[in-house]
Amino acid sequence: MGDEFEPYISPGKDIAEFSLKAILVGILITVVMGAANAYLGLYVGMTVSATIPSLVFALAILKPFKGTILEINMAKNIGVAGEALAAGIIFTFPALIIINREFPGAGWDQLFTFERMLIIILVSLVGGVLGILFTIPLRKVFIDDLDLPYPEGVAAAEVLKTMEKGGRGIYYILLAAGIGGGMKFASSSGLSLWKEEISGVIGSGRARLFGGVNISPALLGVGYIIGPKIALIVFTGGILGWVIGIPVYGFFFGWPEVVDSDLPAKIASVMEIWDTQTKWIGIGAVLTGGIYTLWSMRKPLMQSIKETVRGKKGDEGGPALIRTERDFHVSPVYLVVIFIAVAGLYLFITKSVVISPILAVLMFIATFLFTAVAGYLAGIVGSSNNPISSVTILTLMVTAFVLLGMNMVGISSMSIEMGMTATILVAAVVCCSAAIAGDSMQELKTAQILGATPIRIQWGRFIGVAVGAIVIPFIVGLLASAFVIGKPSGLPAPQAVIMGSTVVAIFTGEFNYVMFGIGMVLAAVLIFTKLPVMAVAIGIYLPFTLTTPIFIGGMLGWVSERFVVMKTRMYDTVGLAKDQVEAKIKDAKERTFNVGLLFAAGLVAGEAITGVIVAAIIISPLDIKLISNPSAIPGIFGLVYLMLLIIYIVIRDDIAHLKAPQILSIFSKVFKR
Amino acid sequence: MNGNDRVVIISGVVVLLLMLTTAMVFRGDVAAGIQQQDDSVDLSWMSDLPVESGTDTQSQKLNEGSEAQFPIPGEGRAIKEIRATLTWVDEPDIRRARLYENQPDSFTLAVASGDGNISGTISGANSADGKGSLLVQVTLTDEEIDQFMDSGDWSVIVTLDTAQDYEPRLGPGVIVLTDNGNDFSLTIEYDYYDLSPEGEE
Repeated sequence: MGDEFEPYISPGKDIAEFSLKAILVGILITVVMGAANAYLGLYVGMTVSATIPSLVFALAILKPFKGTILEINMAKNIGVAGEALAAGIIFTFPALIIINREFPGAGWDQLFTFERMLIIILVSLVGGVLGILFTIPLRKVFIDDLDLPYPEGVAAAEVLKTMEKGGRGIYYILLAAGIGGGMKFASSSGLSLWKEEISGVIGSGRARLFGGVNISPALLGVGYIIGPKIALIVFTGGILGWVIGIPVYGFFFGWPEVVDSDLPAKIASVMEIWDTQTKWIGIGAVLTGGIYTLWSMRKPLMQSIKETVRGKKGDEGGPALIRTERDFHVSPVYLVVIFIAVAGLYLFITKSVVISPILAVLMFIATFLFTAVAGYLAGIVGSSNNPISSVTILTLMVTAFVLLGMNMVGISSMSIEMGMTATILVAAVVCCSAAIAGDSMQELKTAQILGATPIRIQWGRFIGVAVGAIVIPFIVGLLASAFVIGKPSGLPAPQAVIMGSTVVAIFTGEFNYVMFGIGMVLAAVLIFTKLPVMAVAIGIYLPFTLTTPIFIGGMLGWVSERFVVMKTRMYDTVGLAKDQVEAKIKDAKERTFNVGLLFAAGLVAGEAITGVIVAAIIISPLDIKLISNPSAIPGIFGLVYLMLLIIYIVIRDDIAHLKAPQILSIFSKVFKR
Repeated sequence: MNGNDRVVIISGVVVLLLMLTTAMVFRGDVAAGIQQQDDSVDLSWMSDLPVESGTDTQSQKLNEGSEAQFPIPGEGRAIKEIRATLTWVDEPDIRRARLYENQPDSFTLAVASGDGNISGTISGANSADGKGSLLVQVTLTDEEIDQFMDSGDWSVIVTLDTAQDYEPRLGPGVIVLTDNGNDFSLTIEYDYYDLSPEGEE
């Protein structure tokens, strides 16, 4: 693109962009999407892209107030920072609770105290700010010079240009949010009208089989968003871990008897095998997959570091001549101040004048390297596929070994609990920073296409990060107080458990070597067969009752898409040439996927926000439960209706003028090859 | 809104009504309520007796792996609630050429009825400052009070599961500094109905 590129709004035209109304709407979206993703990430270890829902929210609120396209983009730009920062926070800080469970001396039995909240806020704020600052010199290199594709950034710009002309998107989001929120509020953690989950063990003696499904609208939404292929792969991981792994282990080594469990004896036994055995297969596979992902990306990774250094040398810092080239000026003074502040924070936590500057240096080097890596990889594979958790795991492994090494050679003396806590706090900065970096580069790409002003976008990012860093820790603290972190019956928090377990394993040398080894071998097989190892590993790790609705959501997407393709072929392409038919089908697919995406995002947002409200009620003295021992049957009815509703919403426009026999005829072809 | 939308909305309302109906019909506590009516017992005697309280305080040293048992007399009584609080302070760290940290000790505190049918157990280690405490509270329902009245002594059992040794803060340990056991303090508080003739008067 470079110099001859002509943006949607010309550089010479300076329309309203960084206005108060855009900032306020952006802050509102940061809170909503940050809360939603914090909940979802702790629940299933996945965050969903907030870009399109944020755009729809921003458009719906700002359009009546005569908001310009750049103001809408600004509100979205501020808003999505919450989603990115939420990933950085939930992947790392809950790991401290996991560590504390084995080492109570770590002092992180919960997150919701003034001092701990302050630490989390400061660490995530530093990570987020560094993620923005380090990507500023990368804009010219990665976006202008190298012209990386940044798929989500381009898509957001195109969607915004189209949606500005009108649409029903906001209605879909609000309808779905109402359904998702209503079902969550009525289920066992809220009004308790029905059980949230139905699960059971069939068989007796040694031969037993576990199965179940969580009645969660959000998980159907997640499955739809990630698509049938990934949903199927995650489900395959679930089958490997829960339908094959656990029964095989139980059959050969016996089913443990668990006392002091609220669960029925057979299910408690299944959970015990997961907790002590098969969970380690998932951890081994995730670690191996993460290291392999970084290795397979070594060329673009080295390229990004090279380009970053080149970009920094060429960065003159002063204001550019035209509006669309103006960047925030990164003064070295800012970085020095941040370094001193971080070293001070680590000193406060570790009480060691030797360790704290070393931690700060480690954090700075890793952050610099990994923001560049995340910024570059987001440009190639997109933010959703960015291996943030992999770089975080790598950071915590390096930090842990450095701290252990320093203890061994006598440079420092720190307790094992302090070493583990410090390791997580270094990795937390890197994780927040890498998440924000990838996201920031997407925003700058959108800005380039729309003709937004980079310096204003960067100021908007700072606001989004500041709001997210204050709000999200409270939400995570609240959820961690209301639900048990790292347990299938609470909030499983896969990434945080993996981070926490890895750190404990490195510092103590104690972990389930056999299962961990099986996980590594499994990962190697998956890599060899070119299957996405991380998705399978997450499936092994996640409770099976959660992967089932994700799989159903993915399949709903598949059925709807097939229906729309069949309908387009049968009714909308008669007499057209082959290339015109293909173009029509492509358009129909994109249109229907976007409708489904908005509805799915609404389900996720509605359930997630209600989940946060329910968490607040749980830790309050209020008791809103109407039935003490509810049945799962009403929830099953609701789930089945919702599945049909998702398909209806997606194909609604396509069947508006068709008769029932015609619709049935199309459905009959959906499942034929 | 088109004709299909109307069908979907009406179906939604029907499903919602179905969900609410099944929620009320299939709820487990309805069944429990019926059961309770069938097996109902006369608990009116509780309202005729005042609730008495008792307290017992014990201190002792335990070695690793050993346990101590303290009875709560149940003869002529209907126990209503028992609260057992265990506190201990682990020995401080030792500074030689380098600092040896005393690793946390773990206790288990249990409360059990004479027949072992009612019990409460908790385990835990002391924190980094050496202080540890555990609390077990067993609260009986009215039906359980009636069932277990005058059925023998209850007991509070303290077990020192592990008394972990000292470990050097820096590098591998050469000198072994052991921690064999620990002192503890136990406070037992209990509420009960006095069933003896004096109490009933």
